[in-house]
Amino acid sequence: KQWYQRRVRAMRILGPKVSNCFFLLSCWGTIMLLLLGIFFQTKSVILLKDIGYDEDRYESAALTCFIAGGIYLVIGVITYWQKVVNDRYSALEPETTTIVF
Amino acid sequence: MMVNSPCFTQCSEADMSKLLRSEDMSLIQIFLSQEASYNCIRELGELGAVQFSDLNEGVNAFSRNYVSEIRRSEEMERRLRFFAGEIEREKLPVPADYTVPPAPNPKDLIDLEATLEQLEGETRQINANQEALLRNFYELKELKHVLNSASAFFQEGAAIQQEGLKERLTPKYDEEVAAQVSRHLSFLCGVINRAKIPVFERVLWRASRGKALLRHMEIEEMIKDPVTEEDIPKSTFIVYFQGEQLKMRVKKICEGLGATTYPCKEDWEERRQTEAEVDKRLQELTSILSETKNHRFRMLNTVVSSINSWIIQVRKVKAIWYTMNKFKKTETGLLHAEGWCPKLHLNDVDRALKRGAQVAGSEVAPILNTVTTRRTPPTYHRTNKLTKGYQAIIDAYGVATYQEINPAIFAIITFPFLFGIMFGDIGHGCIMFLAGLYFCLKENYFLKRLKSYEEIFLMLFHGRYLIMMNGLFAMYAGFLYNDIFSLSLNIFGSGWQISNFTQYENSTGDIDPGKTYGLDPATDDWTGKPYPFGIDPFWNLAENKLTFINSYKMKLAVILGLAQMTFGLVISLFNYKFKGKTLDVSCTFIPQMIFLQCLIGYLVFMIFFKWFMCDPSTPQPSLLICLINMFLKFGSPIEPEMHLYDMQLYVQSALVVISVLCIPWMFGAKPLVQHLYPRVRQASYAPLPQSYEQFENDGEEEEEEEEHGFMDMMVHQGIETIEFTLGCISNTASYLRLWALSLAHAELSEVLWTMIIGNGLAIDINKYINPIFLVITFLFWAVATVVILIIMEGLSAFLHALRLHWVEFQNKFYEGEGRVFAPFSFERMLNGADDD
Repeated sequence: KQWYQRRVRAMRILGPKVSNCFFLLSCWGTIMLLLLGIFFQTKSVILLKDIGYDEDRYESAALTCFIAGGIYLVIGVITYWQKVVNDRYSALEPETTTIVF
Repeated sequence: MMVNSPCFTQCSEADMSKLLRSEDMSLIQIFLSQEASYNCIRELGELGAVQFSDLNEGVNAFSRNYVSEIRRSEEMERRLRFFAGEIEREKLPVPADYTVPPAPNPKDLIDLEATLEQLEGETRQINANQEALLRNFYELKELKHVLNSASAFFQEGAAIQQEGLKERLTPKYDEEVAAQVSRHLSFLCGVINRAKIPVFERVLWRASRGKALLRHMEIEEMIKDPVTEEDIPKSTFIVYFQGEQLKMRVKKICEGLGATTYPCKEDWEERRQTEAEVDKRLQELTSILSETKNHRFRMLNTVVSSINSWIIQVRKVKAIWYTMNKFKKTETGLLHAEGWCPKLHLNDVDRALKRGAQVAGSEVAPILNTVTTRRTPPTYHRTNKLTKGYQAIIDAYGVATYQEINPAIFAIITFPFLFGIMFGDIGHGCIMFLAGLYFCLKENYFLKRLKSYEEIFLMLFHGRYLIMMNGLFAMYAGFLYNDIFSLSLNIFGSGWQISNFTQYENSTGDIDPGKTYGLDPATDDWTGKPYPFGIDPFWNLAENKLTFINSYKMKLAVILGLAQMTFGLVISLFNYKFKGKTLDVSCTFIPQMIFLQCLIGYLVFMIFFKWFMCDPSTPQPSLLICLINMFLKFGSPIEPEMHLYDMQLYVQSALVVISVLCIPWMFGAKPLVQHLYPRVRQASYAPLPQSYEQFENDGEEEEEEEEHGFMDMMVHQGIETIEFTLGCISNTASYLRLWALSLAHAELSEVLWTMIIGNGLAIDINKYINPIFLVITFLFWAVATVVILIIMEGLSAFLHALRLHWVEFQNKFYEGEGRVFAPFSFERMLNGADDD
């Protein structure tokens, strides 16, 4: 069991808080940037302001959004893996509490 | 906090929770035999249905019946604290065990007491042994060091002796005399704290008048103090002196400065022998010490697994004794208890008492009596995990008087609705909803571990259903305002178009991006097809967006305000009818309602009229100025700018007259009627909130009522009238915060979007670098959104929605002078309710 514990420990790069936090963020980022990219591709009028009233920039903006969404997807996968490792690590140690009066 | 004990759901008569008013309560008396009392109270504690009154109120805490039992349980608690301290010292991990053990029966209690006593005795003994062994160990270590440094000292000493003698015996240096003198030089060696060496030297110098000599050497190894377990730097020393007197003095100085002296022989052989012995002893001691340590460790490990369970049991036992101290001993040897109990749990209490008596093996069955009384019972709202949060926020302002309508039942919907109006964004609402949903779905996990969280997180957790509902309603309001992260959704197709492009073209025929445009329904831009649900998405791009939206939201706020205030008044009608106060209905409710409708109701009517009937091509009257002129320019004909509809003059004059007539009606009718018809007084008088223990005084009530004369009534009614009439205006204006907060939210959201993500998208360097910028800016935007818009604005909207309920809604009908039903329940006590 010791070597298993050490292997799990070695895979831990990010702590539980950081990995959970960034996992949530990247979930949000993927979904939102994907939708934003779709809205740029359908040339929605609302987003004109953000691309400086220049209709030609719609496609490049859409591409930017999709790539950024892809980057967030990758970050999401990495943090999800870290989450799983952290869960495994904390499951190894029995849960302890403090003595409360 | 109200607790829904699991017992209730299995054995109650299963009538639905009547959250509208407090449950019916009855005052009960219980007569218990002494042997059965502990077990019966134990059962009642697990049930959590009775709030006991203290029948021995005047009695000192030290002279109550069960003081010795409380002392015993406190002794057990002290022992448990001792164990907790020892466990913490050894830093042993405590395994998490979330089961709550029941309170022990008397036999188990005695066993527990004995176990704790025995364990404590053993632990203390082991500790004492360990301390003594450690002390011995360190002394031996010090002796070893002294022996080691003795050789160095003696060599040095011999040299100094020679020199010193040479100085003293000049001019004649006689070897024989020198040898004689050297034989008289004695020494003392030992160990002293390094910090005290300078003091030691000085005192020695003074005491011996320069005739004693001190040499010292540092010990590299740090010696531990056996009691405090601190490392103390020490040094070995040796003092040379002449004569017996000096010897006594040096000895005393050593004692005084805490230096320990060790006997040391001059002979090198003897010293080596002693050193060998010391080494052997040290080895023995090391092994004994490690065995003692292991024994202690094993002892503490047996304690660690059950200590939390013991603590809970002892707390329950103490609570039982404290409750039993509230009972009175009758002449026949029974215990007499009194308390409040909801009517629907009377059977459960009866069954619990019988169970307790049976377990105790007592033949005397406990007697349960219901007593009729005129005292006001505590208020008990039976809540479940959803309604508990809403009841808590309403109770925070004031607990409902017994049998008064409970505003919490309406707040379940109105509170999230008003929150949503102020928060109004689909995206932020969605995030809030998901956060609340997460906590609600994983509540069992968190509920078990409640004690290990900080207070702020606990507050968030207890409000999880509120957060979820708030998020849901915020999403709904977001669809109404058509606002998702400051963008609008075009689901149905806009009702606006740009009919004339030429006004926006510059000289070359291209669209000039610098020109802004406003939407005007009078022009051809308006196609005449309204957007089916929510605000048209085109408004997001218009220049006059805020002008329109502000007007719309302000009117919405006033409409909602009137709706909630009218609803509050209607609730007051139901309250009066329930208590049979017909005088209040005719003298308070009716004039208040008429007054409110004449003013604000008319304003809302004008709002709707203007929305539906007015022609957008001509400028229309400002409704507020209309309302003000209704009063200021009463009687004079309507100016053409203020003309809304025909007959306006007559309608408005009539309304003003009626509302002004309502004021003396509110003010004077009730005292007049009560003065002229005294019989009506009793039914209309609110029951005075009485103190807890008033058995008699029913006769005194009637005397007090007669003393409240006409003038007092007038003053009371006068205050209420002024409060209501001024409140009509001020409370309506207060509802404008619905507009203000949603405006702030929308503007903040827009700023965050354009400044952060807008800039992120505007950077157009390179196809490959752009996404990285976008990733970073999205990160900043997300963090800013969560922190500023969701947490800060969410808290703000929560607070303001709450204030609208507490003040503007509840001051139309709420008395809020009840006290909360605080039953004797182990669950409540363990979760931190602080009663006694």
